[in-house]
Amino acid sequence: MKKQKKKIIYFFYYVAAVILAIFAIGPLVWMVDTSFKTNSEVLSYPPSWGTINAMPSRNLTADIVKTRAGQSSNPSALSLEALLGSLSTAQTTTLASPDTIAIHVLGASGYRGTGTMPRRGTLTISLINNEGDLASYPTKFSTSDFNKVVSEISSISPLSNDVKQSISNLSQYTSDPQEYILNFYDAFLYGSNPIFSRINFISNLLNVDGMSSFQDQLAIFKKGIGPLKGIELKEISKILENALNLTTNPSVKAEISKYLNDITLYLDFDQFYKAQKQTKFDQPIELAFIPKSNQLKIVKAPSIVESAYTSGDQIYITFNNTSFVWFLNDNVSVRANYNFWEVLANFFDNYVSAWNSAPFGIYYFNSIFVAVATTVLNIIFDVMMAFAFSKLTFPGRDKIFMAILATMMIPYTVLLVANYLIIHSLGWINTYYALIIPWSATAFVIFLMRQSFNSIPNDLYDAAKIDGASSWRFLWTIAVPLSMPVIITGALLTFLGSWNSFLWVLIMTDTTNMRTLPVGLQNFIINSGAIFNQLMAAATFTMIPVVIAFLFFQKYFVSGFFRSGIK
Amino acid sequence: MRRFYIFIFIISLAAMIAFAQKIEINFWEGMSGNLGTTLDQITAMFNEQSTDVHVNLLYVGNGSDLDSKLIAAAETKTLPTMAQAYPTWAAALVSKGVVVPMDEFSDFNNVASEIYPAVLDIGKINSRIYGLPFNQQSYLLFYRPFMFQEAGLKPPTTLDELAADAKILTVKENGKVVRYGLGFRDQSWIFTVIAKQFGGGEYMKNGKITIDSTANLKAMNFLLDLVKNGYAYTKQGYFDNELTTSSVAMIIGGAANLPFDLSDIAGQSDGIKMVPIPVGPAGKISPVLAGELLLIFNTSSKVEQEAAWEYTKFLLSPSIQLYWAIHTNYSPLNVKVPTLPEWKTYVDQSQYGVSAITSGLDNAMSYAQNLPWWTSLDSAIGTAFEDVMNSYKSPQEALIWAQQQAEQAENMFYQK
Repeated sequence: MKKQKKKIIYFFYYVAAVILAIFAIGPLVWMVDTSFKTNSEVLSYPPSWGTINAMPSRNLTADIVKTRAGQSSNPSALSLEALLGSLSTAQTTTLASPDTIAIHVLGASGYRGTGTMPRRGTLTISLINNEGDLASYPTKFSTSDFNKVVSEISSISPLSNDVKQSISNLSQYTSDPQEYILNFYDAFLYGSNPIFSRINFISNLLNVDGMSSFQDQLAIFKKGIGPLKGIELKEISKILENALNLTTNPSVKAEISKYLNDITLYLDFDQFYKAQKQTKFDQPIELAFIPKSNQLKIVKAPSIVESAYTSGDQIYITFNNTSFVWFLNDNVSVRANYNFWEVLANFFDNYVSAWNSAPFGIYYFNSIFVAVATTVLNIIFDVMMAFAFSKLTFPGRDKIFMAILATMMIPYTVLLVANYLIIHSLGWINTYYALIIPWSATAFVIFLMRQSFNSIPNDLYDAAKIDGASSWRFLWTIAVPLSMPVIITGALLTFLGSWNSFLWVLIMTDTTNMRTLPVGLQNFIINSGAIFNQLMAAATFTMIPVVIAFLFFQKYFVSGFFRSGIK
Repeated sequence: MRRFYIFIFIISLAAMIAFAQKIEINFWEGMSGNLGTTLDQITAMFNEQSTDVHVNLLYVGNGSDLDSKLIAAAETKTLPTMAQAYPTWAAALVSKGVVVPMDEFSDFNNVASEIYPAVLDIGKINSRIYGLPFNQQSYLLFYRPFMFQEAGLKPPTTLDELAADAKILTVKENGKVVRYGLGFRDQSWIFTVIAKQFGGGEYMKNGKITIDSTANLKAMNFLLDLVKNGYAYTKQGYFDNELTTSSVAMIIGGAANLPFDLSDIAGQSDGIKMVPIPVGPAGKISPVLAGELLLIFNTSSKVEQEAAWEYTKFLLSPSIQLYWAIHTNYSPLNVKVPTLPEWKTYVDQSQYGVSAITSGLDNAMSYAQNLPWWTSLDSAIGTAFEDVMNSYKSPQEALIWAQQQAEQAENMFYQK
């Protein structure tokens, strides 16, 4: 019975220990987990452990760039030299070839840590029509059909003013069908203020006299993503035809016919456009990244694909004699695939970016050098001071000790400016002296060691004296070995303090060469927020030496606290 | 004899080349992350182009770290040649007599003529231009375009439209709000941004503190009504989770946050777009800016000061302002930038409405005012705003309280 009870008690001890361990280790595990994620994963809710960076393939959200403005090279992808070059030659930014389609991958290059499209692996790109099949393109473009449809739509009248204006603007492109098509869809659907923009078109329509009675039927078309679609335009046509039949007022009739004609004109042209696209893609386009190059290698693709490259967040694919205007109304699906090594590279991408975003090699050296030097000096000076306060007797000993302890009560940020003045007057700004000397003795460690020396019986000290040992010899050959756990604890505390020191280093140094790891971590925190994934990656590699030090010395660390009487 | 002269000439030429060293200047800056990289590139370009000046960029922590280091360095006269500083610390440094007025430099007027006058005023202290703005971001309205399109709405251009849209875009499911129309942080700058649209937001006019004003009261009531009616959501921290979970339709935020906010929703098809803060009774687009000033210190030699001025001119030149704006989303402060074809292409291609960062710059105002005791005033407004949003105080009570706090802070500063 007693054994049983003991077992139950032990069980609860274990449960409590596991819960405590989860609380203690959980944040660390989360930190390491976060360091592998993309930024949107870091902030996703509800939080999850997994990351897309560990997956061998991923779907990327992408759009086909549908406007001429989007086709031209983006100034944000230019280097400073290239931008200044383009400004000085007063050239307008070069337009991509009309046979080049631009595909915009959302968040491809990323800003905080890895983007959605790491520059490695292969991409499977499928151009898809509205029915969900692979897209089509013309192989035999009929100029006579084009001329016919242009003359047909030019004869439609009356039209609303915007459409009339657009058709008259388009007449300049009648000799260049592709340019005509591009500008046609720009005017009607994709431009900056298109005719079939939902809100404008429906609002204008509802403003026509007598149309307010159709408010309920028409207002729903205001809601929806993107401009009005062909199927919706057909429905609106039906409503307008109905309205036309119901009204008797000739001026209202004329006004409604304008809108009806606008839609008919668009649908006629759209039908011609669709009819021209007879040849279907027989397979998706498979492209591979080439290291350190913007060019993409064609792995597998339909014969019309000539070349491909990436710039910024866009993928450009050039076709053989086929303009991008034939894919304006299509959608695109992009899937990225990675082999084992590429998955590994994706997985550690945040670490590579974090390491490269600041001179962490220098920071590492400085941190180790400063922390080790501070720790060694601390052991030497703190041991001597603690011994003096514990075993030696001299006037004012306890008062001096209290004065040293009192320095622990003042937050050191309060003294920062005063300390800066002292360091400056010593000429130590930007030197290792400033980082090491002021921290070569620590009040708390002195206190810790004094408590430990107090526990060594005075009789032992007296016996050593009688045997002829000096205080110096007693300290280093008897007291120090006896207090080793406390000394190692003090050393670890000093090491940690020095390793984590941020503000002191920031204030006392001006150059990158003198800075330490915590200042490097600051690189990932800017006024607008933190780059969490890279910060966590940097924090992980910054933490490793401290964890190793702790693992080696942890048994001393724990027993050190027990001996000093601190629990 | 001729040979001798040629010899002397060659020797002196060689000596000139050997001893012709560039003037080195130190620039303490607070640009970390991507901002730091962009400033590095710009400075490397300057160092390469300049035959006689070399700029050492020294990153000194952002925000308060840089400011406290500057104050400590001013005490010890160990200031660098130039630095970035927020207007309030610039004012503190000017009061210590260590800042060179920019208008002392010979071709200042040429430079000033290319900067928006309202923006130039940010660095005006005691009617002289001591600091030139460099990194200034405009506070804007961020909105989720798909949510607007689904609701058949256009982004608001007036405060009335903003309130109406916030109501329409708020979504309730089972009596619980799952999406708020508007989200904003209950911090002083948000209040200032809205107060400016009502004709307020400037808390020191003609030497008098004007926190408790009709315009400010209207702004406070406007925001409180939105919160009380359940159409707006307010909190202290960043709105990153709300973006990833699409639980707000509009946010008031700084333009330089855009890349951050975009990365929060990277890969989601519904992006973010920006528009100027909707116009209120003030009648026209009135942006509020936040950011730092460039200062040159008189603790350095005249030659170094001139060198720093050369660098300052470079930073504010149209092409550099263009590059800086494209890569950081800070507003281009040079009036020529919006006329550059590269800027126009950039705006045309942008899916995020970047033209908003140049809107109304001729009518801009700095959120931080260049008063040495401004931080106390700012914190009083912040507390008052928070108290109102959490219904601890009425708008009128809170503004009266903030006015008293600011007056006390001013008195204390001048008594010292």
